This record gives sequence, C-alpha cells and structure tokens, in this order.
Amino acid sequence: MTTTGIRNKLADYVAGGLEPAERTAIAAALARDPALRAELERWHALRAAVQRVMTGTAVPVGLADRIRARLSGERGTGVLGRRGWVLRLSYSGLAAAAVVVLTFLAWPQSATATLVEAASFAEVFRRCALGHCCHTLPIRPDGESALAEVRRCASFDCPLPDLAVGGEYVLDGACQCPPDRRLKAVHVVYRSRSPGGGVVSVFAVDRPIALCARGKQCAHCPCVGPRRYREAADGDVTIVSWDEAGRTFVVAAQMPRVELTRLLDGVKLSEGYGGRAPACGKR
Amino acid sequence: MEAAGVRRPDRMAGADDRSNAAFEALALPHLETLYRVARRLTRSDHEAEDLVQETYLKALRAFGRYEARACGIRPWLLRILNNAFLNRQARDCTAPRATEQQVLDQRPDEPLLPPELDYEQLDGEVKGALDALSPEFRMVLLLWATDELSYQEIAEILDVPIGTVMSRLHRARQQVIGRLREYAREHRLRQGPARE
Repeated sequence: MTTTGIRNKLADYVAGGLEPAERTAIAAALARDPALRAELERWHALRAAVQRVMTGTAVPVGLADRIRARLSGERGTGVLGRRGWVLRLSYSGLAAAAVVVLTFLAWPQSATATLVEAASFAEVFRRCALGHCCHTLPIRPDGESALAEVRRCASFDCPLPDLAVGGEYVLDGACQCPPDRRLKAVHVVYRSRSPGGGVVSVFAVDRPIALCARGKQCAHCPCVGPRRYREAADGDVTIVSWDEAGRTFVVAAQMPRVELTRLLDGVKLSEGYGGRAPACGKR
Repeated sequence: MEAAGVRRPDRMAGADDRSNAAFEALALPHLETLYRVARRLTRSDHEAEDLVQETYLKALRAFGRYEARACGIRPWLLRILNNAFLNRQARDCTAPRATEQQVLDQRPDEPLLPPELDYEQLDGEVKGALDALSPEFRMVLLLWATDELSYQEIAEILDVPIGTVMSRLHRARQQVIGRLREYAREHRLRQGPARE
C-alpha cells in the first residue's frame, strides 16, 4: 500500500473500519512514519472536536414522548395498521368501512400532523392582531373581495374562514407571520364592529398540524357541532384548531372557548378567486 | 442510550417481530444520535425535531421492509434521515450545494494542513465550521465522527461510492481546519508549547 493510499484510509482506520490485513499494514506504516502518526493525530483531534460539539447538543425535553405519540397515531394508517383494518373490516362489514372512510375524509392529516405549540399562535395574536404591528398583506375595504385579495397575495393558496360574512366582524388586517419557524402561515385579523368588541385571529397553515401544549397534543373539545376542534389556552387567549379541506385552521381570541366555537360553527371557508391571478397589490 | 463509538455486535435478536412495539424498542434508543445529527444538519432546533419525527414516521412505515443486520438499525435510520433531509432541501431549494462531486473526486488530494489550534477551547468555532460545510460534507463528517461508521457503512447510508465518502471527508476536514486556522490567526493562537 502506498503512503497516499494509507493516508486516504487513516480516517477509516480511526473509525475502526478496514479489513484486518489492511489494519495491520497501516499499523506497521504508522510505527515507521512520524508524518503518518501526525496525520493520524489530526484525524483523532478532528473527531474529538466534532464529538464534543455533538454531545453538547441536548435532545429537547419530551421529544421521545412526542415521537411515541405520533407513532401511535400512525398505527391506524401504517403498513401494519392497514393490515389490521383489512382483517377487522372483513368481520364487521360495511358499517365499519363507512366509519373508516369518514374518518379519513374528515381528518386525513391526523397521522402526519406536525405538533405546534398553541402558545406560539397566542404570541402572534398578541403581537400582530392586538399590537397592529405587521399587517403586510393588502386589505381592500370592499367586503367580499377583501379576503380573496388576501388569499391571492399570500405565499400559498388556501381557503380562509370568512368571519365577515355574518356582519358582526370586519376584516381588519392580514400578515404572514409564522407562529412556528417550520410553518408558512396566513394570518387574518377580524375585529368586532361592536364598540369595545373583540379581536379574532384566524390562521391557515401550509401543512397539517396538531396543537400541543408543552409538547403534549391538545385534546378535542367536548362540544357537539359540525367541526371537531382541538382546544388550548394561553393566559387569557383561547386557541382552537380544526382540520378542513385538507388544511388545519387555528383561531385565537380573548373569549371563552364555548363562545368562540359557537362563532366558528357558523363560519364557512372563503370561496376561491375564480382561478384568475390579477396583479397583487402587495405592499 | 448508547454511547457513541461503541460497536454494535448483533442487533438481530427479535428482528422478526415487525410490530410497532418492536419498532419502538429498536429505533427509539437511537433518538439522541438522530437528533444530534439532524440538529447539525438543519442548524435549527425546530427543523431538527421536525426532521427526526419525519424520520421515525417514515421508518415505521418502511419497517416491514427493514432487513436486520449485524450493525443494527441505526445506519438504516440515518439513511432515512439523510434522504428526508435531502428531500426537504430539494423542496426548499435554498441550501448551499457542494462542489460537483465528479469534479471534486477527480481533483488530486491536496496535502492537509496541520492543526494549529487547541480544539478544547474552540467548540463554538467548531460548530460554526460544521454549519458552514455544505450538507453533503457535513453529513459525512458527522457520521464518521459521531457514529464510528466505516467508509463502507457511510457509503451505504448515503448511497454513494466509497471514493466519494473519502473525498467528502477529506474536503470537510480541510474546510473545518481552514476555518479554525482563520480563527487562530484572528486570535493569535498557536498550539501546544508554542502558544503565546
């Protein structure tokens, strides 16, 4: 083996690779050649430095539990899970099949949803909705088309819950501040027309998410209605989420959960903007 | 949790059990390694967690096809993690790319400069140097340094030739040392007895 060949294999030697005969040859060469020994020391030094850096990286608290939760959520849809469903369906017939189909249609994202802290939505609500800090998407004052304009100018296309339809709330601002760095989000702010009325933040995110609080997935509300909400609270801010039309929507407001879900039950998603894409008035 | 650097002689016990519980028992002990690699690859706590979760979900879905090997499940998990990371990169199209590999592999191996730094004092700078590497180089260096993987094992994880592993590892070392030398010059550091 040439010296260059040995030098090329020193890192593998350090990692414990190579066949016994090669290791013996390299060991013999190292015993003869101080330059090779110095080179070996450099590899050891680099390895020690990288290992020190890596072992100093702490795994987030609760990550194992969050992964277990996601893996258990996967059981109904994974390879093994599907086999189980086939067996069960063969025994329980069409009624059970209907339940499965309904579940997949209504909540298709649950198995692959990204866990996102509810408090991060409350933070954007406080900063952008209550604080008026960054309404960067254009709002036009002409009623129905205002939401379509927001939707058209957003960085990804998604329907948005339209709280303005009932007349109690008016679209007051919109931005794309993400509650979490992993997400893209469209954040629409509605303000009540009533004097001293409340502010409601509506978020549409670019992927399925599941609200969590301190790493634990939030529970579904015990409410009965057309939507199945998850609920959370951060101080005086109530946060609810639901899945619809292949998206997750999150709403934050300073009002009791019962009042907020009652308001949302009557809200429909905005229609599309007809496939046209006129020039965006983004500032 | 398994200590880095410990060889894994035989992990084939219970390998026929493809239940979710078996998957968790085999795969979750490697969470720390996966997270650390993901953290350095993504350079972000959030993205690392997201990547690790995606890795475990994909691994569970593919667990029926996993072939138990003497080296254990960790290389397989790392391979899934690496592919998931590359897919994300392709989706985002924002990460820096390595030099074209064929060209790189044809270049003669330049002599490596001796380290003139006390690595003990420079963990922060090492982190910066790792983060500055292109993802391809970073992954090879991380696998080699933290998981005691041989060229052959790294090549299998990354699905590249052994020569590419060797080349990337040498380049990665050059770049890390180069950056640390800059730091040393800026701080007028020298190694060992010659330190002033």
